[in-house]
Amino acid sequence: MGARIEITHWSYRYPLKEDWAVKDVNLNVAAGEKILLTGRSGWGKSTLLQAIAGIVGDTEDGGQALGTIMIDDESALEKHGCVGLIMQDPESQIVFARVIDNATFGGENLGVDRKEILSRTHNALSTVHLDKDCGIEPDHLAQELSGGQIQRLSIASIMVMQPDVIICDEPTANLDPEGVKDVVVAIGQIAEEIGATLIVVDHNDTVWEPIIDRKVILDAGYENNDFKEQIAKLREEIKIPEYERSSSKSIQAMRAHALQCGFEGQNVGHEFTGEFNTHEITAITGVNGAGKTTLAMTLAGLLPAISGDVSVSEDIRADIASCDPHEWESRELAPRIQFVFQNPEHQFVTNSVLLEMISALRISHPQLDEKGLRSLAINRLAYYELELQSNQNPYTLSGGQKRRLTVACAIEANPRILIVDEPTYGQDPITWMALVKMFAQLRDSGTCIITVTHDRDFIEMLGAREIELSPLEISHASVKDGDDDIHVFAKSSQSHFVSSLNPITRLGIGIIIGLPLIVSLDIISASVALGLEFVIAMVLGFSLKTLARYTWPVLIGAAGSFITVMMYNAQHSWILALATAIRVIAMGAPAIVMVMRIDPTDLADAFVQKLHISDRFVYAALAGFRLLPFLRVDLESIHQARAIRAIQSRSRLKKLRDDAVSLLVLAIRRSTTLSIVMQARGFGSQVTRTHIRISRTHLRDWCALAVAIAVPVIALGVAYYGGTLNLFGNLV
Amino acid sequence: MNNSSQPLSVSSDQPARRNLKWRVVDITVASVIAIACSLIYWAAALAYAPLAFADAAIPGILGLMNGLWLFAGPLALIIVRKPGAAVYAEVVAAVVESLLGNSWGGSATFLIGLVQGLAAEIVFACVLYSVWNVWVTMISGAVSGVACWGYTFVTNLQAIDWNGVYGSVNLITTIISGALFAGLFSWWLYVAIAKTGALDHFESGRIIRRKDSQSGTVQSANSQEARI
Repeated sequence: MGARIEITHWSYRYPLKEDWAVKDVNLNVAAGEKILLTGRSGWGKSTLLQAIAGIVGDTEDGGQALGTIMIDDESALEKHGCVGLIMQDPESQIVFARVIDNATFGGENLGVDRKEILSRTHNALSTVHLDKDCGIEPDHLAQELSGGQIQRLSIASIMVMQPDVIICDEPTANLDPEGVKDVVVAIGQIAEEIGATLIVVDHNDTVWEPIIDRKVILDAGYENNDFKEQIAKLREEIKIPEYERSSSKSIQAMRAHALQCGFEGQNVGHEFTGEFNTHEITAITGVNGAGKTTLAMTLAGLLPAISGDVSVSEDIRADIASCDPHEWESRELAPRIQFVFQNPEHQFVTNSVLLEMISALRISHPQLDEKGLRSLAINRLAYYELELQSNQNPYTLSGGQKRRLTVACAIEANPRILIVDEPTYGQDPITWMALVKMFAQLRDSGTCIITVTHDRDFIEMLGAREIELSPLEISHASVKDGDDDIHVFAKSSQSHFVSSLNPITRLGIGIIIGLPLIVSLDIISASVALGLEFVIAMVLGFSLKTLARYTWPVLIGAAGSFITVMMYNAQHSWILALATAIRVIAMGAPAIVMVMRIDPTDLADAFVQKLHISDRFVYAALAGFRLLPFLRVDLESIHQARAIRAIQSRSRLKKLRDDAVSLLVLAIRRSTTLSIVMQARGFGSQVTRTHIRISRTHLRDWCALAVAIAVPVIALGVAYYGGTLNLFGNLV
Repeated sequence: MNNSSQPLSVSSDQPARRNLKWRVVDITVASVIAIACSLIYWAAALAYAPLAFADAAIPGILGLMNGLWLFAGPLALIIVRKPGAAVYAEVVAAVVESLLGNSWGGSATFLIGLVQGLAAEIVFACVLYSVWNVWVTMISGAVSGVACWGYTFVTNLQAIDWNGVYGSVNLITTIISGALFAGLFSWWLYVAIAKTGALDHFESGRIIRRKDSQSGTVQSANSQEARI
């Protein structure tokens, strides 16, 4: 049932900030009412929405809150789990690998009965069209879904919680038009079905009109809430000249022929042939997953082409021999091609907004001295409404400001070719207009501009030429039949028997089969143990090839230990060195073989249910593990951003240090968002969680453990009778 | 703002009362630090692989690199400042490494992580989780180094006199390396990260930012505005 929300004189200030993020908000929403909130960018909408969800306002966060937010006469902070929150970035809303685990997560956190969760989940997934009938198996990997599908998965997860209030923070911001429609319909449907109170914040008001009861404007100084109307008004004031397509000055700047883009040899999108001209803006559009970003990065020389070629016109190359920008050096690339990443945080290379701008201006104004650069930078920042932030660390800006700064820096570097991924995302009409104006100027000064965008107004106003990419047809069947290595739920070990064991048993066996061997350093016990292990591995069905592929690092480690012991043990005994090497393998190899390809989700379930380790810690670690591939991409992007901006450390140690800071900052940002997403699904409350997935152990787990204990016992026994037992080598 | 409204739930910019209970954000940040560190370990291993040959020339000198693989624990602990953070981060990093596969052997990595994490943790436990500075962090790194050395000698190098030349050089270099990389470097990382505002949710981050804004780095006329 819907809940009543009463917000009275509520203000919030983040720690260390002098300005209030949200100032004196008063709002009443009746139970079951459906409203749309609007206001100027930066009025603190996300803060307010998170506060209603009970996530912002905890004293330990160090912020300051005034006034009250009551949900059915109780403080929002106390009402964990009765408010479901859907946020804007689809990618960050995936908590676990599989579709089904994401869908049930909220219900589990609230301790809802297991059967009830299963029936609600079934219903929810079919409502949002993500069930078997639509070709999505419960075990489908969530990250393989499109942006719109992921948002619908979040909606399903909220639906399983059956909250009294549903809050949507720009749920359609990153979606293609098709995705937007589906998401709006799904949200309307579930709000109706549960009877929940609905609060939506979105730039795109018109699409919500059919499902909302009223619109609320939450900023006194903000009169007109319609984005289109505002822009039309501003357009008259600012006067951007109509773009004349048949400009005679326009010549070819860059050309792609039979270009196949992708990561690590894996195709993304169709082959692309086309050309891009000076004095022209080209918009690359298409649904999520059509390979727009990959194409843009390949054109910018940041990714190697899988096949086909990219060639930059001679006019722009000047004295560079190669026409493929991927082969250029950073100092050659920076003044010619600038690229703006989708995530602004990948782009920052300095500690302040001012220095960011200076480093961009240094590329376009090599003749200026530091003083000149500085005053020009302050001037330019004022144009982009960023002068008040000039001494701030760029990471501390708001999302819209970050985006604006990175786009501004790329524009001010005055490149011959500018490639931008989603330049207008998160801007309000005024800042949006400022960017559009700069794009128009840059275009008319002869820059070739290529942008990936969903923003229709942007395309229209700049008279951009549009290239629509269509996605590769990937049928779900073909994904499933493909290389099983990329699938988490492929058989989790080469051996049927090992696959059937509980992950915790496998981890345990890996430890106890080798660990007791440390009591004796002798060639007999080590060899007997290794021999037994080898026989067991063969019986279990491991092939020699697999064993070699898994254990080669241990073999190298063993060789290292052999050399070290050989050189430095007092007796210079090669027998001791050999015993060491064999023992290192006997202890290390089974540990790897048993653990390799354990499914992390199964392991987490086992930790919680079998070892009774706190589920908060285990599932947070599991959710963190899912971020690993993203962090790898982050690391890659950080390197690329340095190349674009012609900033690179020479020393290895410095590079490692800079990498570590940038990577950790991004990692901490991701994990802070993750904690919000998890809390928005009721994670961390005091309720005992329900476990949908059940971790089982059988008789065979105990038998396997018994065999594992027998191996070192037999090995040490043989050594004892053989008289070679050598307690702790030289250590005792 | 309407000042007549009653401040019903107020917290201030002053240091909050020390709370040793873990919040959700503490857990996710500690676990993701651990995961990012395992990625850095991997990058470091690539960058420094050639150094392995130096060990043959100067006995035990390789210990100087050991500290590079120890900083997840101290780093997570000085950031989230909750008991158990060092053990948690080291164990998570180790489990991730073992799932990815490495030269220390799957499940065994788990044990190394546990031992090293406990060692790093003990130092902060001894000061009752109330002293947070670079010196304690360096001691923590050094003790973690001792644990790392001890573990290697028990498992891989039993045949070598632990108190002989190799053993002592290796012990000393590992301690130095632990203090430098896991201690000094962790502290430096923490300060650099805090300055970006990424740690504003944490008391540890706010301390650095307050100092940063007081240190006079802000010089423009509208510094009041710019500082926020």
